Amino acid sequence: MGHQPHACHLWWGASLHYFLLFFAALATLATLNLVRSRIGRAFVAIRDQDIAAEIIGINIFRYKLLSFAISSFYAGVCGVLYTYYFGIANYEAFQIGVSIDYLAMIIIGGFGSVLGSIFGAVFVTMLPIAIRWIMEPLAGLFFGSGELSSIVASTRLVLFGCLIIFFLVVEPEGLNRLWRNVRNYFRTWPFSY
Amino acid sequence: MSRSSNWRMTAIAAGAVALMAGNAAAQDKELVFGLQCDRTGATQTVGVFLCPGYHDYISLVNSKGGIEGYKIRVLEIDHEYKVPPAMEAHERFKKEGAVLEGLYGTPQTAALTKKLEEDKILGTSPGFGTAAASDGKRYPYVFPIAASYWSQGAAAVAFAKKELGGNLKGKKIAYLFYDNPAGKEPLVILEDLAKSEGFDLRTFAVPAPGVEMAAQVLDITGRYRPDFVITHLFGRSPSVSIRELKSKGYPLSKVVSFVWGASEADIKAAGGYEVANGYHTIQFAGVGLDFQVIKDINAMYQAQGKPAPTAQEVSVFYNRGVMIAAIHTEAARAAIKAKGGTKPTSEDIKKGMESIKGFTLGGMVPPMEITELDHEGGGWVQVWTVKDGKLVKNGHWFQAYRDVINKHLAATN
Repeated sequence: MGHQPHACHLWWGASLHYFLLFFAALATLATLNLVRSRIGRAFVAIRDQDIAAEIIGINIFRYKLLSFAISSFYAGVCGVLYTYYFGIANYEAFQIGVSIDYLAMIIIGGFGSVLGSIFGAVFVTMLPIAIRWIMEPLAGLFFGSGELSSIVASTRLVLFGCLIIFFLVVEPEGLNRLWRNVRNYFRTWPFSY
Repeated sequence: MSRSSNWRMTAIAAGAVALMAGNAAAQDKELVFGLQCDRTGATQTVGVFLCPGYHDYISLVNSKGGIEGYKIRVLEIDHEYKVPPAMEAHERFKKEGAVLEGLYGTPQTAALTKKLEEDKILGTSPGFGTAAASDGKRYPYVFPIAASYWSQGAAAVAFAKKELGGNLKGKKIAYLFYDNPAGKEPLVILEDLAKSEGFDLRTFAVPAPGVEMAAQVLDITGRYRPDFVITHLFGRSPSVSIRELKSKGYPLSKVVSFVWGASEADIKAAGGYEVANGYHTIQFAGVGLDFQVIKDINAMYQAQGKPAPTAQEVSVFYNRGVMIAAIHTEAARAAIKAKGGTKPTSEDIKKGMESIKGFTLGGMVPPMEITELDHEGGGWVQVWTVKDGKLVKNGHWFQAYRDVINKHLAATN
């Protein structure tokens, strides 16, 4: 990539966005179809109860291996796109904390659903930005700029932890379930009986 | 949601909008500095002390009327030592019209180097980032403004030479480092110096997260038995190295650490000043609270009826924050003066940064000279040694083997 001509920045930024969006759409489509296929059904069966799955004739070893292979494929594609986006590839960015973040995305989004994982990823990525947008003008009324930044940083951590606990306890099916509730409500609205 | 809480939300939103509008009115006599920080991520042990130092110095400048009549607004974003939030922070800074950015972290600096150049905003990367960024021609918008890992490596060898009686011929030096790109960076300089100075160099890598190094230290103290040890570690690992070397009976007076293994917090985590007695540390900013600028900051707090900030407990990092803020301020001051008082652009501030010379802040900042070609400012460092329960200055600011560093800088082009 190197030096893009100056006038092309906007074009480059926007086209990169659509380039990445294309892969995101492709991956979503592929996953949705995978879930509906024989392989996807086998994954669901193993997740729900692996002994029962084995009894009905699913080769657990083969499907578990396959699940690793498929997720590695997604991670690999994502890694290449990541490098395109950031311009560097650095293994230091991938430590244990990243796994925890991804797990949090899945918990908040909702286990076992494609839409949920998208919700979770968007939510967790946007949360710090949203917190800054809300906190900076509001907390700015009471605190100086130095204190403010330390408060904003800590708020993110506190809120993040609270949300994970909240979703685990109150709504284990995550944002996906909330979305479905809202959707079902409006589907029959205003005649909900 | 009930009706009354709806109203309350609307009122809060309206208040926020009004506040933003108020900010917009004050913008013509205001400069925005972007600051990236790590207060909650992998290296938060640095950020929670460094960033308050930055804010306190800027508050001090603002309390005295700002720079030539311009108030400074610091926009800090905590990137948790991750690259994506650092990119997002840069976009935000750009949108808010920041004239310069304080970067934080080697991977973040690497990712943003290209962006800074495209957007023509200068970024400072004191004590991290690639050593090649000292070359202002090749990296026009990145300013290390402090000794790079190459300069630190050269300084460590020069210090070892001085401690070992002025001659390194036939001596053995061990290099204990964190196994990441930053840890490996000084190797070229150390290897080159090993040839020209005639000492034997052996390297010992510590894998992340760096809290297990009993094997490496045993290898150093039991098998290799070096005359001097140079360490370059991050996060929790410097304290582990101090403890391990001490427990294996290696004299800490023959150990010198790079800048990120050099704080009061590392010494405390290793078991206190008693344990770490004799340990040498390389610094790119002055240590301790005995500086006029710190006294001014504390006086400012006192005038507001507040106690001195607790971040001063770790003066090594706090002072670095003060130093970074001071250099940013000086660059902006030079730019405003050069423009005859009109509002400077990032390009003007870059020129201001390239004119910094002889700014020492009462001894806290080295006598660096930043030029268009040398964005590092000469690679000055100072050694501070643990002695009698505190860090004590061990000699003056110095630079070492500039010819070797310049040779390597030229070779990377």
